Amino acid sequence: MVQTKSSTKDDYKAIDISVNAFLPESSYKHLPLGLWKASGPAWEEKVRNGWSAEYMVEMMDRGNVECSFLISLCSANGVGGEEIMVPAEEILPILQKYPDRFVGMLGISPVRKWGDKYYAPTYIERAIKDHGFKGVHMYPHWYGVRINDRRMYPIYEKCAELDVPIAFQTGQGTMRSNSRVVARPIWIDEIVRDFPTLRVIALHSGYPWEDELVALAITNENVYVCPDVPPPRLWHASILTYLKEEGRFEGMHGSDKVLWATDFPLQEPETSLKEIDALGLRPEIRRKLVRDNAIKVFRLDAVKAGQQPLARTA
Amino acid sequence: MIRAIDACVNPFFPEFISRFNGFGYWKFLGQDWETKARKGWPVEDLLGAMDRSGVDKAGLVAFWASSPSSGDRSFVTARELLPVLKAHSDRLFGVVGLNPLLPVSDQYYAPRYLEQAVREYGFKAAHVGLHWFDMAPEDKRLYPIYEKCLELDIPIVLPLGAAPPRSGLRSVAEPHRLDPVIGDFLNLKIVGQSVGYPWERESVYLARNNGNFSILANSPTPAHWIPDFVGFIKQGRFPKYDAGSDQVMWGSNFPLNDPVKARGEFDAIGFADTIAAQLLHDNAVRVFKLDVKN
Repeated sequence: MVQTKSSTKDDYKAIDISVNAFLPESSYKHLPLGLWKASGPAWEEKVRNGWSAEYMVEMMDRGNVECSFLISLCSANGVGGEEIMVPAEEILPILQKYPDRFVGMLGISPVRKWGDKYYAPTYIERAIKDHGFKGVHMYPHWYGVRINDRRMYPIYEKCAELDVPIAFQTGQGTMRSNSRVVARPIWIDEIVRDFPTLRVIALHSGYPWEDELVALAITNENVYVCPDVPPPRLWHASILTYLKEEGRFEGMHGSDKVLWATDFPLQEPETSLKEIDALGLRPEIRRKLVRDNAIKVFRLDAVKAGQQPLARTA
Repeated sequence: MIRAIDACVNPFFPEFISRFNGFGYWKFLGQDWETKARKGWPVEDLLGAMDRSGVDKAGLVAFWASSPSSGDRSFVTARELLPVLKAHSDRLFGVVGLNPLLPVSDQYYAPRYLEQAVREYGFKAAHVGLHWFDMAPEDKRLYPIYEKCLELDIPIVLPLGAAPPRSGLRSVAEPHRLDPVIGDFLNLKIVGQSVGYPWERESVYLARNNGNFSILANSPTPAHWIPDFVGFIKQGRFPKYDAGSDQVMWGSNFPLNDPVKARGEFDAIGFADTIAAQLLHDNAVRVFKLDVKN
């Protein structure tokens, strides 16, 4: 089989659109989550220590990743529990120190009110306009607020107005953590009808409704799928089929609509990309999956790949 | 005579009236109204009525409705009202009517159009004719509009109560349905237009519980205000906190009510001068942030 030069995998580097900022100074705040208990003592220890920016950069080099979207994560200790928040200011120094390697992804809380420093719409505007964040990240399952809830609408409006994508968890809530199912993929349908220009990235594969999620991505121009959880070796058949199938709907296939990511620290790029290689994708599809689609969705193409760093902050 | 602000008048001027001819309530109001509505009301009529009823300033609503009886989209845009607002800037201020159903691709997409009307044209408030869009106040499609009002620091006027008579519309706006909205937007200044017939007491409880909610009492006219409402204005149950005189403003809804008659009915209630001044003038100045010389 003849490979075009642009699609041999050593020619390009990957872009990881979901990396959580579990920094050494604040990672311990996430310890109360039942998730770590469920994953075992080794994980508890790791989360207690956190991961430094230097570690992440080194890890990205090992995995041949050009840049990562660093999330200032907003979550809570289960629905109704204490909020666990990494404010944007906490990751700003990293974005400034490594402008070529990290892009800001703003985690938001959907329940904060007007007047609060982190009230989502104003916080988003500030982060995007003043600090060069490129997208918004939301974990509604920690708050028990459904994605089609009315309180979400000002957030969607703001993202659409600023022309930035919003990524949120879909499918089951996080295990053993008193989170809720708030994002069945089909509920995205209503959102993209009401906000036709809004780009939505559905994280976590929509388990156990992968079929539903794929159906939405096929029918809606602006719905993208990011199966950052589970790892590629466990991707569901519908997602794999969607990714491999081509030729029926121009631009709406998985090859154009699925984005790889690690959800670090849950995966690391080196292993994750090896698992991608084992999927046996056509080289062009692999490249789109791990790189080009991210450039397209986040409009990173303003800067030419390979000539200038993709990640630009402030 | 206390100088007044009429918080709500309609731009049924001859040049726009054909767009509103399909409204069922012209028939309901009687044959002479059908004739009148065909001609429209020139701005001089409005200014004359204001003079006769002691009104210094009136809020002109760039009204937006979709009329099921005529099938038309019936509206006057903010830009269309600019000439008249500019010509009488000492007498009129603009309230921009929005259509929450329009998609983002439309030039009148509500949040964007609202921002333009307020920042560029100097409109003082937003207005959504809920019944005309079959949309309850807590409908999430309104939330981006509420959010934009907060950002622009302007009030939003929402007609509450039963749908306009013979309009063929559903009564989607019982005042109590604002309760979740108030909870979600504690700082939003909401103006409930009309006393909320036949649920006036719901409007009263909303105002009693929430300082940012006020009542624009344009309909029914003061002669028909229920005792609970008048009592709330005169003195709340906990006078220091919930006396309603802070949160009620008079309006005529010209030309549907005659301002002179409405003003006469208002004066006939016999409020104390201090309270009357709040209802007729001060509350509107505060809520709509009007420039008035005193």
